[in-house]
Amino acid sequence: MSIFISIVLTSIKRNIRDRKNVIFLLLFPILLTFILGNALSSVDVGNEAAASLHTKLALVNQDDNGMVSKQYEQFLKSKEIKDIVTTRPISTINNARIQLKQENVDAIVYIPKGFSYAIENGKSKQMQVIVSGNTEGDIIKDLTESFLSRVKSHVVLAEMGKHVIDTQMPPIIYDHPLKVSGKLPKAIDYYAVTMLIMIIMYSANLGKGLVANFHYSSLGSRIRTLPIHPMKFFLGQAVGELLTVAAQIVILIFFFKFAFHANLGDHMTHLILTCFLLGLITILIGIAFSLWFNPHAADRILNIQIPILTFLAGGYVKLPDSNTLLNFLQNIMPNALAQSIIFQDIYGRHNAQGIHELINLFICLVVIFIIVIVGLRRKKYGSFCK
Amino acid sequence: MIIDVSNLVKRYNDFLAIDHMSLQIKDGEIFGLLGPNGAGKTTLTKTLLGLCKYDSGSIKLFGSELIESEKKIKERIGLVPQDIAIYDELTAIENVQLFGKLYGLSGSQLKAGVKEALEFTGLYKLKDKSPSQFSGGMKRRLNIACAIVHKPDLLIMDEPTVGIDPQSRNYILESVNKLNKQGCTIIYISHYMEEVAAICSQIAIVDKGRIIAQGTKEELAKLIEGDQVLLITVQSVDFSTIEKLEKVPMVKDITLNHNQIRIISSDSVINQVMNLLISNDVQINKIVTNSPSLEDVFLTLTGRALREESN
Ligand SMILES: Nc1ncnc2c1ncn2[C@@H]1O[C@H](COP(=O)(O)OP(=O)(O)OP(=O)(O)O)[C@@H](O)[C@H]1O
Ligand SMILES: [Mg+2]
Repeated sequence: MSIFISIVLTSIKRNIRDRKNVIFLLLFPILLTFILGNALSSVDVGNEAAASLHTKLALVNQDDNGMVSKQYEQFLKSKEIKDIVTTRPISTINNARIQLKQENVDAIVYIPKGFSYAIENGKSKQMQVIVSGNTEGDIIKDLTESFLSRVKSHVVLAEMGKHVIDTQMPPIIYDHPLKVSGKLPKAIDYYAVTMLIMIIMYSANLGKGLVANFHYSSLGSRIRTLPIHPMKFFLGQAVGELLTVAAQIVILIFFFKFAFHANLGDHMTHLILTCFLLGLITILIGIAFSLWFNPHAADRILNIQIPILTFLAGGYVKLPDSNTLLNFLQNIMPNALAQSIIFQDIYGRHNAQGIHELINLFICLVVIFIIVIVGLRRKKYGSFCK
Repeated sequence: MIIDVSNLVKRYNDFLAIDHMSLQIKDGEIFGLLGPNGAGKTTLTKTLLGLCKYDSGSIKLFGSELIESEKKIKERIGLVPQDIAIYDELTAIENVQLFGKLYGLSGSQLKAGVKEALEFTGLYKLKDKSPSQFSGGMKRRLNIACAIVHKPDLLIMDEPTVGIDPQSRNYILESVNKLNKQGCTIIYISHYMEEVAAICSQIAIVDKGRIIAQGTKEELAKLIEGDQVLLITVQSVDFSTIEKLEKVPMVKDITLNHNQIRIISSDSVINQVMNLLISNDVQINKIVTNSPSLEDVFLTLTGRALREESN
């Protein structure tokens, strides 16, 4: 076995055997996602319950032919929904309220005039769900929310690129019919992605540890007395760290998908590759900071940047749209870019936009790579003698 | 000549860590480097191995400069670093294997080297355990095993026995002797006079970045031949009395350690010392006279003890 492969494998072995590390890499993100996903979830509707229910909905649509409301109507007519929801169009909200009072319907959905127009132009306008307070009403609430979160994510995505939803955009609902089972909360779909991104950001610590071990530990000194080029050793370890992160990503994705049943879209390879790319960039960021700053400062910067970048990317809560500074930042932050690419993949791709972001992500990679190379030269990793 | 250092100067900013040091080490020797904390022993090994730059002078290893054929030279050297440098997440045998590979071993050579290194350090039975379950002494031994797996021609051991119990220490010293008999030249760095006296064929005493004396154990002892050592245990004593003692003719060196006064003199000074102590009302508990040891050589040469005694 070549020396290089030994170094790579050793590095992976060490990562896996370090119990604290494994807890941090896997258990922590799984728990965090679970907590966030559930704390912010709405009612959990079981499969069986949903099947035995029949819900009557009064739809008051005054949005005359607006795109979003039309999509909503289509959504209600889709096969899975029709099985559990009967829709009755009613022309005014007052009539609908009377029906609700007489318990002829379980819920009212009221789409006001100009709703689609407002959404398409990035303004906010309320779509109202009025429920009677029984389980049936809650189902309507859940379904509508899930529908809206899809619309919203489109709007958010579009906003990031300063685009507006246009009619060319493929209708979401046909592409990805909602699963009516609704067994899992919608929040988990969102947090599965944003937490995945955040956890990948933490692999900066692996990059940092790499430099710290090599440069400031007794092991590092020992390694520099060996008849092996320091750069070869360093690279071998870096590859090991990268593979560790790759394994972590795959495990998390599978966990989120199959244990949490989070909606991660149908393009698994896209998702995984985007995450790998982000992982690579993040490790390089960790290396770069540790090469250019003293270990203490690097540690602090790296630990602060992760929550800040996650927040700015809307990882914890969705941020208000239409802030130019924020838009600008999100266009250069690797985590925000990756997140946006992933959301587009899940909720329908807007090609030009996605490619634009992918290019930005690669630019990030190149820039950080150059910073690392220069930093390595500065620290003389390239030569034997220091 | 395996090592030929001449006029080496190494500064840390303004601090002169190695002060125009010259040093030759012959093939087959166990060369002891003895010196107090901060003498520059570790710094010397670092410059030898190219871990840090030096300011001037020259270093030749196996007849050539490190830069000329770094890989070849490093393949022939093993370093037991002062700070333990092993991977806690790898088992003992995996550690030794890894370093063996990094030293360029493979196949049956690697296998044999690993086994031998572990047996040499008495760790073979513990080979599948992780160092995190090891005692300090076992870690030290693994630290050594990782440096001898490739059977180096030159082994540099930087305080390999710190914090090791006497039994393990003897085991290590025996191993060092065995390695030497197999043809390995050894640089043995230590604070422990007894260790150095027991195994080293050449001893250099280092202080403040300089070699202040060098030779065999006997040659060094000759430096203070005829000197006498007087150990006096007292109830208590103040510094003014010590100062007065220093002024007694023929007294070369005085140290006070707890309640023990140690006086090195070129001739017997018992009478003068006694008189002085009694006239200063010092209560004397015990008096011993000795012929000087290596430790005393060190004391007279450097004016300080090798180790700051703890407690
Ligand atoms: N990286 C460094 N920067 C500045 N000064 C240093 C550095 N390393 C060592 N020194 C100083 O150089 C001197 C020699 O240190 P060195 O470690 O070589 O001593 P030593 O003889 O090995 O001591 P010990 O017996 O305690 O191991 C010390 O005074 C130490 O403070
Ligand atoms: Mg030292």
